[in-house]
Amino acid sequence: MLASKTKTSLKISGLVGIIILLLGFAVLFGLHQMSKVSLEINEISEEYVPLTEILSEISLHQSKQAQSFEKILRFSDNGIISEMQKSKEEFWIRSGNIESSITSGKTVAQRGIEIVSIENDDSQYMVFFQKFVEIERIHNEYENTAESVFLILDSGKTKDASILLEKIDRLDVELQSEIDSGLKIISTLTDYSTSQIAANERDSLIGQIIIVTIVGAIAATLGFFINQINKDLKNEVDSKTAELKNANEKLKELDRMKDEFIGIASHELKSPIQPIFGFAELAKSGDIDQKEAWDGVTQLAKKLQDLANAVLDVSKIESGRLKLHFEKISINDSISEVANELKMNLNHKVKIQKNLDEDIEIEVDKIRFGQVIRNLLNNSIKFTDEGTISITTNVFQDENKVLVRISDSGSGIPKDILPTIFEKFVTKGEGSQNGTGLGLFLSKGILTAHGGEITAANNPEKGATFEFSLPITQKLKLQKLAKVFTN
Amino acid sequence: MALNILIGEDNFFTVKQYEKILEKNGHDVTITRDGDECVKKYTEAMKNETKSYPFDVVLMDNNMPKKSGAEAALEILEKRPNQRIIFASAYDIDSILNTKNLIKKSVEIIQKPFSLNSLVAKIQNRK
Repeated sequence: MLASKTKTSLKISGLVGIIILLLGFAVLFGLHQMSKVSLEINEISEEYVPLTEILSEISLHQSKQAQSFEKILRFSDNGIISEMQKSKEEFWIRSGNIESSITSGKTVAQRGIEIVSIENDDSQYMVFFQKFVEIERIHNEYENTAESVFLILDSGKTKDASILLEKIDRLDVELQSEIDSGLKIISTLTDYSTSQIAANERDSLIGQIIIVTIVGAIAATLGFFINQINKDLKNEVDSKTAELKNANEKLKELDRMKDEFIGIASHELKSPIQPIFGFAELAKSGDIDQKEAWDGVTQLAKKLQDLANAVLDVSKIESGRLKLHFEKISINDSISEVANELKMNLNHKVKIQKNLDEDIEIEVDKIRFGQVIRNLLNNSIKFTDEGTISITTNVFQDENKVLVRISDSGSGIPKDILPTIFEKFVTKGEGSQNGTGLGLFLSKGILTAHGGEITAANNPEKGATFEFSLPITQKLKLQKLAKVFTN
Repeated sequence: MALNILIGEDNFFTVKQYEKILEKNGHDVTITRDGDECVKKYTEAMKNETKSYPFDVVLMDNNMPKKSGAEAALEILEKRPNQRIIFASAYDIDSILNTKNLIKKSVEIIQKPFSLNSLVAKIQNRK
């Protein structure tokens, strides 16, 4: 039962553990995905920020440089040389700014390329690096062309500059277009990444839904099994409750029997008190002689002693505490010893006749064996006014068994008493020989503890026969016998 | 005045002592050893006796073989509702008094152990 209980609780705790583990896994997976997505968003938003800034700077400086160039041309036309020189300075400052931005852009792109080669990411840094190289090329060409224009302006041949000016415009447009295309690529990439993240988010969501669904399905299955286990448990509890109820009923019955026994035993113990007082009173008043009174009191005291011993033995037998001290004794000697002792007080009309088989050694508790023979013989003597009481033995060596039969020509056993003859206080003798009402119960208990059996029957003609069997040698241990008896 | 007394008692010595003391006091004693025999003797006496009550007193123990004193008393009281009955018992006084239909006014109780002379006094002097 304990193993089964452990098994059931293990099952339940195992199932609950699995559910918790799966739910925990789903939650962790979700959290991981969420953090991954937000990390990606951060990375993407930060990744191209420097490039965007640099390109914007270049665009800004370029437009300022173009403005300076316009100013130079205008001041040159108007002949304001000093302003023209200022504009030229500004032009070259812007140029320096642009170059410095291009260098930064190339460095960032270069670093990007290096990271890409490590992470093997699908990045566009190489494109940007080339874009900056191209911007640098156009810028240099723009500068060179502008420088040529300045030389022409300084020489005063402004008409020759028209081709170069057209080239300047074209380069300006080209540069601006390169920058715009760079910014556009960034914008496209960001959009693409954002949509990729959205796709990832969707995948992650689908993944989570699948996991939650699987967990749900597993939980439902586990729920089903737990329900089954619950049913098993309920059945288990029901059957145990029924067992307990039965055990309780048995205990109640035992309690009732114990109370009954105590009630009867106490009455039996009290009953000699009245006649003891009676003997004292009658002897005192001279209604009976002293000897009769003392004999009566002695008999009553002996009866009390027998009853006290019998009650003690009953309690030992019923609680399985009857201790037997096995020894090998001669069966014929033991029987003869008791029979001879009882013969001395026999009424002359009754005889005890022995028909004993071969004398063998039998392994019994000598005192208890003698007690059984004495009980059975006394029982026969009590109910036999005249005739013969025979005691017969049959040895069955092959079966490790000896049969002892005590038969009398007495009044026999009343039919209503026969089925319960071996129970407590079932029958009592009459007259001064009345016994404790426990002799046959004790005899049966003692024989059972020896591994033997006893039966009682009325003879076809007259009287009754008690027959018991005993093992010649004890094969079982005392404890086992006691256990067999108590069960 | 000699009384005709029926005794129901299973203890050999007690019966002998009742017989001795009651006969000494001039009463007629009929002995029975169990509840069943007690009822039978009462019924037999009813047939032979011309008086309305076959016995002046029925003295019985409650705890007897075959039929308890209370059971025997019930049967006797069915036949003669006002029969005087004395229970001499060591225990079970309550169960005697609580026995269904037992007419309590007809039933007297003397608790064991008692002196034989007090029993004689109880029998001779109706309360």
